[in-house]
Amino acid sequence: MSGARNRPNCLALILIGLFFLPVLAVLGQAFGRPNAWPELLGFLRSGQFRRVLAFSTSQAFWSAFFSLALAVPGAYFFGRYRFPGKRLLRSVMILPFMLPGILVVLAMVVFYGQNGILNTWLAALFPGRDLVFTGLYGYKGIILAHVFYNFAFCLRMLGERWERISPKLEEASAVLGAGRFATWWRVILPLLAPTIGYLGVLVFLYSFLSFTVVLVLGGYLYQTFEVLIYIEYNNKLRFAQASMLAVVQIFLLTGIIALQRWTQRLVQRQSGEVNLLPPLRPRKQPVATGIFLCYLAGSLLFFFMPLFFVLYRSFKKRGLPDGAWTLDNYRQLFGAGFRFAVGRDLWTVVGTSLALAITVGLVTMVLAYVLARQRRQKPWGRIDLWLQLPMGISFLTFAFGLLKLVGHALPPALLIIWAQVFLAFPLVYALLRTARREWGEEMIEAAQCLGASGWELFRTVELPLMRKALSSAFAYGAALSLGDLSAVLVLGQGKVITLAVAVYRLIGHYNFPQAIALGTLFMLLAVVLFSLVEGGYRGKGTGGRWGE
Amino acid sequence: MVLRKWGFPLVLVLVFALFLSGCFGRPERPLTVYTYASFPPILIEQIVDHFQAEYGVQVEFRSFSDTGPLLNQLAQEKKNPQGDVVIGLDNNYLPKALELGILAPYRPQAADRIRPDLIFDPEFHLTPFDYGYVVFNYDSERLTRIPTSHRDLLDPEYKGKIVVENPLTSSPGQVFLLTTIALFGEDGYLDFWRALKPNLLTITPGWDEAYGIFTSGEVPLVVSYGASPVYHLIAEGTERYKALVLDGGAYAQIERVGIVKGTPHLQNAQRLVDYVLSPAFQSLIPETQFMYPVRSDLELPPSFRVAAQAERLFNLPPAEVAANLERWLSAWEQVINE
Repeated sequence: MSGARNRPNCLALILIGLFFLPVLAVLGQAFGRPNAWPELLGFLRSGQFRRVLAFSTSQAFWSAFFSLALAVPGAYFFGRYRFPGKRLLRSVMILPFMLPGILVVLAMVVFYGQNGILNTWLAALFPGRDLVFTGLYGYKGIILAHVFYNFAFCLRMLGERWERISPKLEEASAVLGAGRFATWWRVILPLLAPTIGYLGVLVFLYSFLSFTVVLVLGGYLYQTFEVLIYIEYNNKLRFAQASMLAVVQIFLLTGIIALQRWTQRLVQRQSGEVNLLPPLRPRKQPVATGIFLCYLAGSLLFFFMPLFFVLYRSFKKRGLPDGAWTLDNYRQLFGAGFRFAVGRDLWTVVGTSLALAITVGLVTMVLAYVLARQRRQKPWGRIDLWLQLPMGISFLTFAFGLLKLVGHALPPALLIIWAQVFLAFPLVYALLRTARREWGEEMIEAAQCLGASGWELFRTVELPLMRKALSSAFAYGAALSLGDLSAVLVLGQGKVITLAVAVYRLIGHYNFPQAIALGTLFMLLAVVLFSLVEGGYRGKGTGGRWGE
Repeated sequence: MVLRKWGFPLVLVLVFALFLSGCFGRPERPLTVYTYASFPPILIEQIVDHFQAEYGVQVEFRSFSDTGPLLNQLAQEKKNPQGDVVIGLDNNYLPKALELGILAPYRPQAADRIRPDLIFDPEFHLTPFDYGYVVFNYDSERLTRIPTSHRDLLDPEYKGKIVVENPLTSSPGQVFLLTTIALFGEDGYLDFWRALKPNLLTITPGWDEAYGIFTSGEVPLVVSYGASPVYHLIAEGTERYKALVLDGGAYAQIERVGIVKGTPHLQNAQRLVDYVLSPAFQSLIPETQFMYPVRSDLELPPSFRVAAQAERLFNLPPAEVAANLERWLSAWEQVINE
């Protein structure tokens, strides 16, 4: 092991090459021109730059803050208790993460809009008081939508982390006389801090790079750098300017990502034991159960009702809320009209999407795990940072760079897989890196001492220990692939039709009700897939199908 | 241990396979058509089948995320064209395409049948094959007073009731901006937008979002196409949504087809342009693309009675648009951000 320590890691170098070559292809274009530098300085001095920077930073900060603040209480229940429906909820929580942007926007409008459900309820509950929610179109609405996107996923990841903290620590702390708050503050929070820090950075980056939500709800009063980049590429056709903006953005976000180095260094070694969680018992713990139910009801109301009301329209004639109940919108998905608008039949589209998602999930998981395993002895370092950088790079810039670099040489499907692995790798790697570093090393070493080696060691000791982290990692990779539209549109040349593209095409041909019906199928499919993937590690002693 | 030992070779093999798969199997390129992502698959299929059956020629379509990237690709491939025909560049891209010199002119056989005020390019570098009016659509169940002119839209009555698309990111949005310039002139259009702003609920990046917000019942007025109501009539049997012709005219978005300069498939490329203008293909356009065919000798299907009929075209000359568009857009941007 010691000999390998100072050798450069080949896999990491190859990955860094695969991720950054396309970006370099674009950047070369930006700075290979004579007046590039004066132009850059001019932009940095402009009022537009200051305005965009101020808006992007502040909205991203508040989006991250509220997503985490709302997720922590829920994470406690997910990390400390078993309860019926937990597994299903966990699968559902990835959904907002992968929904086509247009469906999220419609969900927000249908629920929070000026003629939305929320305002109908307010009017019915408080007649004559004129209570109206008008905040959707503007700064508040943008943050609301970002929290909608990220909150559930934060809750899930934080809950997973909390599960791995041994309850014995709390017991020990209590025995030593510490109060509940002191225990939380001095024992649990420091253990959660790296994950909270990581998620904070992640949500900050996603919101900083936000595009559709900012444009639709901000009415072009607000712009992020990604919006400016898109306009330069797509409409003004000035690649050099777009690349320059992308460089500015990369530098700004590198600073943020560097913060991770600091939070990830706090990661401590944990014991390798599997914590058996106690069930939540309504009779014995009425207060805890009550609080949990209120929390659950609140988050369902604000985050799942919007989705629910969009989906509900797929069962209505012509998608109108007051229309008759019908399954027509679903029936039409199987008919000639679907092929007519989308170009493939439904089964081909579902098959393509699943094949892509599973490939991207597996490739990302395997690459990330191999690397995490090689680097398990090392603290979070520069290479890890480089591998997190894709999160700060405009995905559009990457996709156009890839197209320029090898667009002619490689088939579209491979280009898409390449781009989606780029998209998913940072998250998946961070997850596995943390899991592999802090978890189970002692047990593996013990097994090694007892003579287990090679494949046997991996199969009987390591795999069972890492199974949960691996299946989560796979699910995130697959979810990002399923939800991606831009890579498929830019790199697919119209030959690769996924579910997200099908939704986009249906809407392009006015078929909103069918698009929503397809979105519903899409979510069902994802929940089934994730439940299957993550179903293998149920703890002993739980009878229920959905209990953990 | 195993992965550690084999991880690296495994990746090498993967990368190698990646490159190999790209290098093999590139025989002579078939007739290749560039188009944008939302061009109807049914029309693509029609062209592919026709060429296979009629001439035994294989046609391949390659679609781009949007018209901008499409034009950009053509510009980059100027010396070594990989496409032969381009379908879907609209009027606003005409001057840019001419300036780049990437197209070979071809006067199609049906040139005389094309409605003359749509041509704009007498040498036929890019020939119009369909067009649609970009006009307001309204929800007749939610709008009580129907406006008749663009000035009517400034009435406080419509506060928060209008959604339009962003001219910087959306082609109907851009056409609507041009409509206001055609109507109010360079001196007046910014004042119009200033006055319109309070009535806009939001400005969306694309048509999809705007129309989605409209059909969700959130606003009764949206910038869309003159033939949008036809869809609702055919597919849903309703006339609830109606197109609105304000000030007695409309600005047409004209979609065009052209031949890439330097194509090795010139004869088939010309056949393709002729086919797109043939009565057989043109009569498919109304109810698949929800646009008007350019041939003046075709009868429209009965469903088009609900589509907008414009007496007069507001269209500005493409050269004038090309010369000023950037300036108009940035002035608009400033007014919106005031």
